[in-house]
Amino acid sequence: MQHDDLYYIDKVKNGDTRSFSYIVEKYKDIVFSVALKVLKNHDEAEEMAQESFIKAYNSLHTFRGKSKFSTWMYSITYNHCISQVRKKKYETGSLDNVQVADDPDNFGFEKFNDETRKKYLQSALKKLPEEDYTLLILFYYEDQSVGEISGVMNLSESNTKVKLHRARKKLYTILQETLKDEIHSLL
Amino acid sequence: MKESNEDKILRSTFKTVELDKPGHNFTSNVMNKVHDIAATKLETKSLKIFGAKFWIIIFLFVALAAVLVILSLTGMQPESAINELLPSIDNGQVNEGYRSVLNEINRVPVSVAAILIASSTLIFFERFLSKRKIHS
Repeated sequence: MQHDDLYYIDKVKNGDTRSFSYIVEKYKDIVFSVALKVLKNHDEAEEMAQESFIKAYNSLHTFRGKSKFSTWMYSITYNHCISQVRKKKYETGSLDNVQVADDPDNFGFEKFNDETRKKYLQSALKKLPEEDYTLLILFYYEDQSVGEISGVMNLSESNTKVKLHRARKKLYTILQETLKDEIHSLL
Repeated sequence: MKESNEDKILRSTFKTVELDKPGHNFTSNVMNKVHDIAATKLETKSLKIFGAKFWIIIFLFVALAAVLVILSLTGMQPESAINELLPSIDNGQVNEGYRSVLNEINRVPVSVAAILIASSTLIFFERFLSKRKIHS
């Protein structure tokens, strides 16, 4: 039988510490991905991701289940990584200067097969700045709502909508350019 | 937010994306730390900084101090207060014992008293700090 997050969280709250491993297993990839995107260093990202889980464990008694656990967990992770960046004054915004194309939405992404789409999306995501990456991963991969994302990233809902729109345009621009290069190389 | 066809394709493609993965020991590392924290919390819960005896002594001391304050505020002399509260007690004997204890204390030199007070304070702090070390 498949149990949801709250089942395991209640078990942890009642003293069954081992149940926390379910939470770690379920969220470790996305928590680590966000940390890696923000920190750009594998070891530090792993450390920050671990610390985020420890923070979540220590504050689990404050989680009342009013919002999704994933939203709460991503909020801890994102804010923890951002504060680390500010503390160490990392260079961020690797590709914030992406020139958004005039009409990036119509480049025929649907014409490619699933495998090609996956390959190019994966490569385009690597080129996105951390904020855009986090917004898109939360919205498309994790199916979080605009309201939930605004909570994770400490933004207003309207600002989240605008940023999400821009992030998507940036992603389409990168995809368009990559696919154009690919078509040229094939011809 | 209205979702276009392009958006739907993007969403379905996102689901197939492979995220970066942490090292193999990630979960066990986190769980080791979690178990350590849980064990420390359990220890802190079971180990009280002061035992029951300490609190009984403090309670008796505070109660005695409160009785003395109340008596001094009402302007009652201890002898008459005892007479009123416990009329059956032989007042003379109690007073005699009380005075002899005070006289004995009076004979103790100040330096000896200071040494006794200082050493008890040091023992108290040593016990208090050693218990706090266990928790940190």
